[in-house]
Amino acid sequence: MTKPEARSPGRRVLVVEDDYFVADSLALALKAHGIDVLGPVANVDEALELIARDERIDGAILDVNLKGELVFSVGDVLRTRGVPYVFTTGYDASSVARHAGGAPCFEKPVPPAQLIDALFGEH
Amino acid sequence: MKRTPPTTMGRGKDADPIERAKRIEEELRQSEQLLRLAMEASSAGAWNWNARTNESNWDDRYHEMYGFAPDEPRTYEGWLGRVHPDDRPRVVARLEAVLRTPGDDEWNIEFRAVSPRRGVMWMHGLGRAWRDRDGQVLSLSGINLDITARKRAEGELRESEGQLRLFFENAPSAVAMLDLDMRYLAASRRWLEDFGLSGDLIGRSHYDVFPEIPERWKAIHRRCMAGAVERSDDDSFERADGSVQWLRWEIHPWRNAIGEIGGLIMLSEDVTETRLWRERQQVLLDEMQHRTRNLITVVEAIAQQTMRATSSMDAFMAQFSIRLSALSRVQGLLSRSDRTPITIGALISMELEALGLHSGGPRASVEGPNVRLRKRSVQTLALAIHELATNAQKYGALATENGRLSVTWRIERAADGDACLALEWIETGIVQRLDRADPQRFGYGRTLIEKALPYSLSAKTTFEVGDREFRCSITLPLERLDGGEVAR
Repeated sequence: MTKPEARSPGRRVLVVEDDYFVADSLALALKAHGIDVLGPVANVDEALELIARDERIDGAILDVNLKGELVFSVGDVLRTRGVPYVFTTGYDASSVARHAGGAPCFEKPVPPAQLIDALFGEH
Repeated sequence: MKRTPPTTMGRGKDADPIERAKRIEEELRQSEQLLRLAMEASSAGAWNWNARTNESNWDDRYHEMYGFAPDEPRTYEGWLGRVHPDDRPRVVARLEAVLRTPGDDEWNIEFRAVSPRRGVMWMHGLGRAWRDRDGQVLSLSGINLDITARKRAEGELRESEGQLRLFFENAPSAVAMLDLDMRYLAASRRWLEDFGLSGDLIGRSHYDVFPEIPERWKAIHRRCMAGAVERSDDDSFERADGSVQWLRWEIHPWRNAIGEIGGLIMLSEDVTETRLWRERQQVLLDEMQHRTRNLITVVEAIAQQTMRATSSMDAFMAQFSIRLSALSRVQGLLSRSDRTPITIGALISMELEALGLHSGGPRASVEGPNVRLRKRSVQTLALAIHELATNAQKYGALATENGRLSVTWRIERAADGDACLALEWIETGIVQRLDRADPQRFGYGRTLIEKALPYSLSAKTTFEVGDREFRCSITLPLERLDGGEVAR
């Protein structure tokens, strides 16, 4: 499972999460794992803007419900670019899985290490 | 009576008149015997009326059928007395018409008679008139058949058919009965109502009534016609107008008296409404779960932020529980928001009142137009206002005798037409000795306002701490929503 670049630091991970404090603590935790955080951003428009602007994204953590707006369109764009992503949600993970297109879904709260593991296979 | 036609075989014998008379007599006797047998088999009674003598006569069976005593005379008047009064005019009119009208020689009539022994009976009267060359009636003769049993059976059949029809029509569910050609034999009113039909379906083809029936269902009908019983708890029926009905249905074949399949019985229940409710319930449940989970992450964040700014467990508990109270007040507001939309004014009043302050009092003035808040922005905004209010009470304008709090808001419109809700929180007359750098005073609340509101709600905020003054402004973008403007 070990890829040559797996342990290399400086992976760039996009965080989309509407709650400031959740986003903030997730960003801090990711940084502690040596990850470069893109964002965090709180809505779909800003996420799409970031993706359009940044050439390099290695992974993304997407909160499903952003103050009533659904994040799935961000996932669709990432998939076309071959970027791995995971969903986090306050909903039942199984009810989200139907729209997730095979991407892993986690019910909140979820330890950041699990998210990194799901994205890159190790941490 | 018909004359026996001469036969070629008998021609030789006819030469002897005595032999011929004997033969005729014998043939007549046989013929009479046959007639009697026929009369007995049909249980008919025979009668005759002679126009010349105006005499009536009838046989014993007729006499007995009408319930006459053996010694009662056999007269027309006696018979007429036994005809049911309601049918008498019709029967007399028919006989008189025959008497008057040469060529109208036969009658065939049903009427009721009343026998002292057997009560009301139904009679079938058949007969004919015999006329002379001028058309004058010589005699009338006829037979009567007792058809009471048949009439009763017919009535019972009609009644049970009527009851069946009533049962079908009034059945408290949608039921239909079809024949082998899928034509309606019966349908309940509910069937008509559920499928939005009107008029009489009887005799019409199911597939003409519902041209939109899919091949899939026709196949089911064919299987049921072959003896299958099929049902579905949840099946969609796309109607011709494009709407979709959800049905629970069951189809059985029905069998006639000798066990052959005579067609189908269909039962259906429109579960569209039930389905909608179930879906709505699921949405509500999902939403509840989402809200609960999110609430837990919010509580987690509040705990972390509070922990960061407190030095002892006691201080933490005190702070934390006050913040949880604020959070639970917002939940109450949110759960009532379907009936009572949440306005910025209501939110501010609620937070001030929770601290024992009245927004109309001398120390605090609260003023602004009615602006509805979007549900999803309420929680963060309420927590921010709670932080402002508790800080004012602990360290700010409401902690001193001469302090004053003014909370005002208005709708501001930019040149491009976008509207904002601009709120100003101003505290004056604050005692200077309060430590501006007190981390507790500006910890969580300040982060909420300076970071969380811009991040989550795209708000613009300022947070200015002066020596004797405190100013905070929050500008929230407004959205146009069902007629009114709502804070995002």
